[in-house]
Amino acid sequence: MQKKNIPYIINYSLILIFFLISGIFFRQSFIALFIILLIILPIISIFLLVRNGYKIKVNIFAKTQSVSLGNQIIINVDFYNPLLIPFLNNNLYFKYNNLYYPNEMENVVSLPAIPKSKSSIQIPFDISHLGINEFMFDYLVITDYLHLFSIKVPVKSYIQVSVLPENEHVNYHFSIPPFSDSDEEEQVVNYGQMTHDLKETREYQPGDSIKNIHWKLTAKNDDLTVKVFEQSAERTLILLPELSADTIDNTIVTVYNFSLFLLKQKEFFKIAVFDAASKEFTLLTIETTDDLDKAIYSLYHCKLYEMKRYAINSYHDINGSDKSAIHIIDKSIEFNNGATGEIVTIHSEKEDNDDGTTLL
Amino acid sequence: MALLSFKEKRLAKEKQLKLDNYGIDIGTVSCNDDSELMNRAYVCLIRALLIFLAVYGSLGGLVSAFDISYRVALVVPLLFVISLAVAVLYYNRVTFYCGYILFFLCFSFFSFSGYMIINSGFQAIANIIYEKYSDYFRLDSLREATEIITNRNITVSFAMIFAGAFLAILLNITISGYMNLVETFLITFPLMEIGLYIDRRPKFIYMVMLFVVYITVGVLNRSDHFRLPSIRQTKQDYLVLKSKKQTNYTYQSDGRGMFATVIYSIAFASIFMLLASGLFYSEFDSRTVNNKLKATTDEMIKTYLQNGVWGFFDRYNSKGGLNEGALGGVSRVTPDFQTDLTVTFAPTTVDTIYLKGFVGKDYYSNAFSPDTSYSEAIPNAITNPSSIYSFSDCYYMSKDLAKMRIENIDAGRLDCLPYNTFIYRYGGAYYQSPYARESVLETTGILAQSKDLIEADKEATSDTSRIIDVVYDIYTPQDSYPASDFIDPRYEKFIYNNYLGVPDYLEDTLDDICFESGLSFIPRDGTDQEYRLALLKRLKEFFMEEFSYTMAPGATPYRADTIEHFLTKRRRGFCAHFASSATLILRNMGVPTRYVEGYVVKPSDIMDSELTEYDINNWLSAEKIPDDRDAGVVQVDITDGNAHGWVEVYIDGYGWIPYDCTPPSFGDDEVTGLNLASLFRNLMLVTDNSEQDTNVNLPANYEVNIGKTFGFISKPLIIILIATVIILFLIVVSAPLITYAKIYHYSKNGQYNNALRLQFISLTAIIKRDKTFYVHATVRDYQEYLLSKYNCQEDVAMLTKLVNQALYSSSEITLDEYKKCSLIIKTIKTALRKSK
Repeated sequence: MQKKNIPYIINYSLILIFFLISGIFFRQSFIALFIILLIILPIISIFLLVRNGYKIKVNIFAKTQSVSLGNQIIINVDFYNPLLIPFLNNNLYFKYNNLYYPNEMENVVSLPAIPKSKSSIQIPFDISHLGINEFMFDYLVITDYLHLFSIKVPVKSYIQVSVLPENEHVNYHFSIPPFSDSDEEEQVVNYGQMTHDLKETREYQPGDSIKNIHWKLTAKNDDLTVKVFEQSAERTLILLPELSADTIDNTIVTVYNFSLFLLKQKEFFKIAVFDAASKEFTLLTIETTDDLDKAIYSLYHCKLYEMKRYAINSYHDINGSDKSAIHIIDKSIEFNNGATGEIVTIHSEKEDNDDGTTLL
Repeated sequence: MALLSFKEKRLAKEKQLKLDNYGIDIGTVSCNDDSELMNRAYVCLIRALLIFLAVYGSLGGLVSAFDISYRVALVVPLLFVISLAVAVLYYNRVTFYCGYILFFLCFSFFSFSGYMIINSGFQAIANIIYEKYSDYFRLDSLREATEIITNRNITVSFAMIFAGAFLAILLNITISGYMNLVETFLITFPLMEIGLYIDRRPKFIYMVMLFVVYITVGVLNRSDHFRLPSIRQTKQDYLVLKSKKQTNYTYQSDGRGMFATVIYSIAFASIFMLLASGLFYSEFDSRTVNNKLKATTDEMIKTYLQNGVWGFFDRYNSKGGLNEGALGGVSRVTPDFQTDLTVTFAPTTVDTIYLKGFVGKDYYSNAFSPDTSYSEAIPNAITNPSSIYSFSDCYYMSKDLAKMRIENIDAGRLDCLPYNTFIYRYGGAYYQSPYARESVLETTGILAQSKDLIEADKEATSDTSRIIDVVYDIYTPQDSYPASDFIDPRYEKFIYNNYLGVPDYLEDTLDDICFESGLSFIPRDGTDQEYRLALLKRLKEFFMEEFSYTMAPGATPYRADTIEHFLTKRRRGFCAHFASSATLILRNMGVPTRYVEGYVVKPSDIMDSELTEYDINNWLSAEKIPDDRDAGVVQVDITDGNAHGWVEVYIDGYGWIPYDCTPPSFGDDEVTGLNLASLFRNLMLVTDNSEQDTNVNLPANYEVNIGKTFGFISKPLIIILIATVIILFLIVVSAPLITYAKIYHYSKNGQYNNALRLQFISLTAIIKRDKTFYVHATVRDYQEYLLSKYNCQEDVAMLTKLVNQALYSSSEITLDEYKKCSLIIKTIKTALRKSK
């Protein structure tokens, strides 16, 4: 029984009492008939429910695992009643929310279970922001025909659908500045130290930096072995998206497009995912579009904050203000050349032609 | 948004807010398969079935409970077709709005063309029901409706179809519209209850039908899956109900579930009734139930049976019995038929016996004042010793004496005595009539003879204050009345001084009536007595010809005089009206009269009475005892139905004689009682006498009665109807004008947001003619449509941007932007119109 049933029980009892009182005063045979009926009906109704209610099956699935902004997420609910009797009061309770914007609103879909058949409905969701949307179908409440008693059948179906930005094929006026010799060693070491992204070890070759010699292995193998860090050959770019609540959509779109541009340019780069709570950075190396999607997912799981330059400041706090990273917030991409301290704004080609009008 | 209704605009705003705040919002929940359209007809069919079961179950149940025959082959298919027709009204918007008008026209046509038959059918059913109720409550059948057409089989069938159509419309609202069990029950069950209340049970099948309807409607109402999303929301499978913490999406209608419910209900109800029929059809007389609530209900039903609904709305309570001279203020007399008096006597005549209770002297403003002037008239008469003041007047003396014992059960007053009472015993003491002078009684030996008669029975000496024993001379109407020696000349003088008065304000009316009735032209040749008897005869004839009897004439209008209203306007009434009028009319003709109320013992009452074991010799003087062996002493129950009003006319030299001029009841006074057809007809038409040309024989006052009852409604109703049509027309025509006026007003006052919003609304109205959207169509939906139809992307983009700003932003758009937008909207509108 649920709280919801109480008004119905009171209502039903009042009707029964009305007939009982009329019966006492008027003693007509039809009143007796009604009273018997009113007593029998709930018994049958509840009996059928308790006996058969649990046999109803629910299957919930999403059509796609990810969608791009502007499309709908469609959740399918299949409902199967293997019994010969219909159950008319089935309430499926569910919640949905974007991880960025928690929402406690409960929703109920009420639909009948037709005997010996499958009914299928689709619940579409309009989306306006990027992020991961989760759908929690908690339980199914089946109520008897007279609404006097309910049973709760757990469903426990959890679905995640992510909303990915679209590839807008944007080109940027950006090329990686050439390494200056003096920088190279330091840069590599720095990145190596910070990320520990050791890729492999190999035999020493002339030209390798002495700093990279893996002394422990060398002692073991009697050969000079050097550590090879990822991107050791070239300078690594770090994209640092600012997870500011106001501009998160644009920021992620920009990160996505800029990353695709970089991938097209066959540049090696990393995306720094900033955890605002622990003030820690996780660097994710991007080599393929799959890597990029994973990085975006990681960003989706982060917490948003209000400040505009929180991530970049934290980054500088940890690594020193002269360390370079490409700071992305909203539509702007700023490249802080650590060596020179010069801040370069990167423009897209599209931006040059844009008249500022966007479709809604 | 951009839709006219504020609700939709609000909903769209809510959605936008949700999308902004949470990034996700649920869309229109729908079914995967496209079975919705098929489902729609299916749902209508099931509803039709339910409506049919409810209509036929209740009507058939009523008719079967009273064993009324009708043409099943005609009624059942027609009722099903009607049920189907009304259920299909809910199929979609078009059927709903057009269908109702069409259905109403058909219904009206059917009612108007067949109203005679339908009306007769209702009267037939009503008559049968009245009859059974009269039997059950042991009432005199007071209400009898006139059946114009006597073929009950046909008329009842038509009446059932008419009532069925009417019920179907109501049930369509409660079942198709709201699936409301209580309302459905209240519409259908009272019909069944009419029979059930007096232990007349309908046939098994009708009870099953109703139970099926009740169970199905109850279950479907609880299930919430019974709606057709046709009237309010197009293309919505699900009904959305929002609360603060929860949003509920309910699947609107589900034909298969409904069908399964109906099937299971039929099975269940049949089994249940099979098992319980023993209980239901058991022999049980509910009259044996005795409690206050039941008694009150019975009382109310009796009141209703006798007087209809208006019986409950009287200015004072006239439950039959005596009204002490009060007239008017009562729309109907509502006797309860409980015993007021018990009269024991030995019947010797077939004439009505009058028991005189109240004597009225002067009439003024709807009441007769009681006549208390005996002692004034004859100073040496015995002053009335008890509360009893209105003695019967004894002038004619014979030795043909009879004894009567009157027991007061529930009468307002005790002293209801027969005419010519000499002497009576009450509370252990003897009293004499003030006119029966003691010396006369003694010299004639009547006194002694009377006392012997009273004391002849042991029981007669009972001293209870409720019993009065009377010795009287039986009054019989005669052709001529001999002069009596007992009349005191002083008294005669007193009579002419006191019993000829009429109120001044009534003199003209009375003169007119005397003229109209021909009383003024009766020649005065012959004796005074002959002249008076001729007047009485003519007045009685006049009342018979021009007036009709009814227990329910309707209350006299406020401040109108009852007698004047009765004589000039209404010309229908009960005994008090006739008696009081006759009193004044005769006084106007110079005949001394009095208004009398009391009880009458009719020959029919004597036939229904119980024979007692008393010895007849103790109840009649020797000369009176008939030879008939069956003669005996009877005890008659006098109910308040026997209460009556009549006139006493003074015959010079003889005394007062009772004169009863109330015409008999023919039972045709309730023509309009249940006449739904004529109600409709009279609501729509002011006067229509063409119907009188039909072959049917109408009672003379038929048309007049209807006209009187409903005529006054017709004119205002037609004016209201025409005014409504004109107003509706004006609203339709003026709506676009108002919109343009508003746009002009807003743009003048610099409220460009509002102006643009209205302009966009008018644009969406045009778009919606071409394409149907979901209810909450967004600006984006319209934008997509415009892009597909109209080839200027920049314009559309700009328009939608500004419209969004106008709708959702607090910042006002500029005049230039507004002008551009209105230009764009204009060009789009012309383009759209051209493309069509």
